[in-house]
Amino acid sequence: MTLDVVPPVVSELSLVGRLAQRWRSSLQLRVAATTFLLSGVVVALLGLYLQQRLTDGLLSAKVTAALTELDAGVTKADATLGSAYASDPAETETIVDSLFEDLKRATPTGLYDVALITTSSTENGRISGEISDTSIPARLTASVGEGNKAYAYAPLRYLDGHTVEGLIAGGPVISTGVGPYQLYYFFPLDQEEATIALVRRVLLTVGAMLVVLVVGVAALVTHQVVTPVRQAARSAQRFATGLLEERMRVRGSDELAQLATSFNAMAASLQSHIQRLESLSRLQRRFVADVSHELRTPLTTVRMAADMLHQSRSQFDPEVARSAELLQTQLNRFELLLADLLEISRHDAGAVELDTEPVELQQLVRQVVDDVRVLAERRACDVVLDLPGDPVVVDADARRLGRVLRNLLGNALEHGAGQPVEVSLRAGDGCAAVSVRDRGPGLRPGEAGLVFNRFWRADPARSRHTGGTGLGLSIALEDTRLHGGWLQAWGEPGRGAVFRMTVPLRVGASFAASPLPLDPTETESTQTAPAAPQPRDPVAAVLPGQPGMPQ
Amino acid sequence: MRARRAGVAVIGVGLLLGGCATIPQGGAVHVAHVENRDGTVDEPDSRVLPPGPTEGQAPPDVVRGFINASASADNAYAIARSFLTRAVGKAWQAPRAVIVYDEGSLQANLSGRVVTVTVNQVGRIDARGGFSLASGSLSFQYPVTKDRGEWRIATPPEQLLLSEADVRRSFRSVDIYFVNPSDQVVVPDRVYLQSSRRDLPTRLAERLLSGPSSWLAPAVRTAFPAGTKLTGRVDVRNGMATVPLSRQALRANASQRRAMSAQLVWTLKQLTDMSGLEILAGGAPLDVPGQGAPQSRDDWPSYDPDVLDSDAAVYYSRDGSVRSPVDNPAAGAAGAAQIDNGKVLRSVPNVPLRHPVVAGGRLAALGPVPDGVGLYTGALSSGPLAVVWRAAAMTPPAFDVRGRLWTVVTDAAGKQRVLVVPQGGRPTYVPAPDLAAGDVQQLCPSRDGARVVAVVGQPGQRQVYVGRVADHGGALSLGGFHTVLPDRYVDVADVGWLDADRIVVLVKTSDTGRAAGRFPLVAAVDGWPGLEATVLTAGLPSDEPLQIAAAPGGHRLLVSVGGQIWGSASGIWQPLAVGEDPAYGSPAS
Repeated sequence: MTLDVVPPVVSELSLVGRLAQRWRSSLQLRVAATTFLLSGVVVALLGLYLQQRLTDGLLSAKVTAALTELDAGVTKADATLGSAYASDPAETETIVDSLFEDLKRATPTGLYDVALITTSSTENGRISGEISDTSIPARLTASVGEGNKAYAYAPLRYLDGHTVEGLIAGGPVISTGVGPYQLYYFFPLDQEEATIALVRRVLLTVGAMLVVLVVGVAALVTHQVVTPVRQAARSAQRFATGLLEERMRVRGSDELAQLATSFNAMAASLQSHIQRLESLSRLQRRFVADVSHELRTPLTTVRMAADMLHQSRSQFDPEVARSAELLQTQLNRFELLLADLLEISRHDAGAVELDTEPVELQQLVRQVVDDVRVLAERRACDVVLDLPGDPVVVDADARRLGRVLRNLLGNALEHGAGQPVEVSLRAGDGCAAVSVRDRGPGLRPGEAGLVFNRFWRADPARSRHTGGTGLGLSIALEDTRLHGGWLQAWGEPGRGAVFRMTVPLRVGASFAASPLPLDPTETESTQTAPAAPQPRDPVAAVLPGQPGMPQ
Repeated sequence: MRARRAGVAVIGVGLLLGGCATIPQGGAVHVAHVENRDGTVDEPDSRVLPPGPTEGQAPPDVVRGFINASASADNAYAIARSFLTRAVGKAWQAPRAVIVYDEGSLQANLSGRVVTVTVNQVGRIDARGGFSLASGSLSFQYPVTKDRGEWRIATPPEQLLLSEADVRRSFRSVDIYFVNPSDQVVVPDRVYLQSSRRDLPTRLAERLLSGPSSWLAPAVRTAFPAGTKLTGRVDVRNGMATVPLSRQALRANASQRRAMSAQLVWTLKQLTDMSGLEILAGGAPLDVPGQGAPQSRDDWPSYDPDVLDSDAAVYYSRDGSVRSPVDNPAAGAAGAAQIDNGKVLRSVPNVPLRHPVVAGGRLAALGPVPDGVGLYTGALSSGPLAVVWRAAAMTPPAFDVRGRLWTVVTDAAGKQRVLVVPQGGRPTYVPAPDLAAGDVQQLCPSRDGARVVAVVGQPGQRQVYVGRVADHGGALSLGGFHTVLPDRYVDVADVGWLDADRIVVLVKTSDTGRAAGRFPLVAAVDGWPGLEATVLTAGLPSDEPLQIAAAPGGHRLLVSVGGQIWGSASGIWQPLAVGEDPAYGSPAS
């Protein structure tokens, strides 16, 4: 339920394209994604920091414990070996044995291991448990050898081959006459590793849940805001399609309620204006219809009298005879105008009916051309026909279609300025088009849309000579629209004008494009390109109500 | 509005709960259940890091270094191997048998290309781990050659030479339990295994399945059917030990299965983290009748080789009657009167009883008969005391777990023979070829009835010997006697069994550093010098102690000195009674 957009030209989109479209079209998605990204980044940074602090804390506690043990052990060893006087190696070994048992006894099973290392070639070192003395890294041995109490992180290697991450702390032992000895403590860090892994797991879980929660909250809040906006858009859409009673529901008294109230006020105001305009327009049309109808009666009488006068014009003076002819001509004109007015009133009232039958368009075109032969000869314009080989049959009202074509052809000949007039006929995908091209003065920019208005004249000075009523193109447009077709105009100053009528083959059927181009300059490149639903020339406008506009 | 109030309430509760997630600062006292794991053998060992060969070492030092390095078994004796030539070292397997020598006695002399090493032997450990005392001087030849410019040993001997201290560091002693011939109790067989804790459960089980040491074999039985082997490692996970046996184990009948389970429980109980046992035979759990599976470490208390239970009592003789000290004689003058009298339990008119022993409610004592000494037995509480044997002389009698009474009788001609009086049966002689020549002063069987300790010799030269009771289908014989004390201990006065692994002896020592006079000494049954412990005599009267008695499970050590019986608790001696012939016994039948 999103706002509709003009669908892109290409109907097939890649996945990225679809995603991008979805991104553009949904505020909720954008907010949720942004919140997700931001909160994810923040939570990740916090989690990393927390884990780092915890690790540091755990390890520093271990280091403190290690150094304390080392201190105690070295003190004990110093006390024992520093004053040891051994008369033979066996006694040395006994002293070292008992010292090592002492040191080892301080370690309950498994907490840590002890090693008493010596570089002497005559004395044995000691090591507890299953740990291998190769675990002591050379850099630590070097540092302790320089007299420091030092510690380092290194993997602890055991006799059966497995290793555990650990901390090794070592210090030199003061000994006179024996040694030199170094004391090392090995602390496995597997417990700390397990704790850190647990913390990491918990942080990940909690962080993920937190992010999901925040995104959910953001989506919820956005939903609360977006929903009324969507409602407003939908109401506006329905209003625009003509449902003037459409109103928004007002809930509460917050900003969204204010929006709804304002919308409703605007809709009510628009509705009353439109209704008033419509009723005015209705009144106006009825007036025209009534007046035209009322005028018929006196016109008939006047006509009869004029006819009689016209018949006896030879009996009059030349001026009076001339007057009688003038009277006849103008009355003819008056009658035509009245007929056209009545016709257009019928269209306005919606009281016209289509009388459809299969019509062969080529035949109709030829007949129309024949009908206007007199005018063509008078104007010295040739009519060039461009008709397809196959017959084109449409369901149409022949009379009305013929009237349309006659009007177009008449206009073209009138404005042709002696140049040949081209009439083309083409059948297309579910439709057929007839275009009439003249090479007269053409239309100025913007006039292509005005040309179908009632009583509009391109050049006011020509109005009296042509004998047209000024309603011809309006009637032609209504007739075409009745068939569900298009009537479009194109023109350029100095290059003439093109009027194109496109009708569906079956009444009421829809079609997308006209088989003939509206802009003749583009036919130079392609002859068969289907015309765009919307004319590309800025001069030619699409009138409201014509197909091609958003519905 | 309502939603807002609910939200505030939730936040409040959350803060409250959050405040609870800190270190507790009070609360209930939690009673912990920590089991007392006595008698475990798997404490972490201390290993030796011997130095390797140095540049330009002379051959005697190379050999000394090799012997020193033999104490370190790390990486398959890697450091010791480095003292051998490359070629020999590649194929050399460290021997299992060990010769234990006295540390200060090692001498190494080079002559030609052979280094001769002389040592004073202290004992031996055989390939299966059994220890035996030995003495004397031994010498070994170590041919040496130059290998890549350095002297190296070309042919190492077939036994590993280790000093006593080295053995103490690199071996650990464990007890492997077998059953006595009557299937009543388990008997410990002490062996010495490599002290590494790796695979200790598997090594224990393997040693158990491979049978008893050759010395103990005639005296015990194994309940495992012939050919039973381990089909995999013994894993101890979360306290549960799983022993996978092969199919032969299924052939055992009900009583054999009970004994098998008892053997395994008692053997593996020595591991600290073992709390339960599951036996698999051919992949499926073995059904032990009368016992739930899996077994726990506290199962089979009835198989305890230290048969004495907690109601063990002290018995002594005074003025010819069998007495027991009054309860809790406190130190100080108030207790003197009580000490004086004791509680008279039994006396026979006109028969002064001496050397009373009590077991299972039965009493045995020596009393005079015309022409000699008689052995009186009967119920402790009441009933007649009958004479079951007469002889010219008898050693103090002793009971074993099967209710048999042991003594050594001397006939009028002076010939000594071992006599055993089974419960409710006829007394019989037991052949003891090793004791034929001797002058046996005392013979005391262990409580499990599989071993005996004897004091043999002329006054002033008496020695202690430990032997075993071989049982061939009911026919008993004594054999395998060997000394268990080093030569410096002389003039044994009395001996007793402390527990299934140790004896107590009243000895003097020829060590000039110690005071003269007799003192109690605790020693291992197999003679292992590491277990020797002198009991301090501070507080005892200055007379020489004459008799000693002990019992397992923390009972006081009893010594008869100057006509009184003294008991030691935590090193403090206190007088218990006026009398002699102290002994422990169980009055319950």
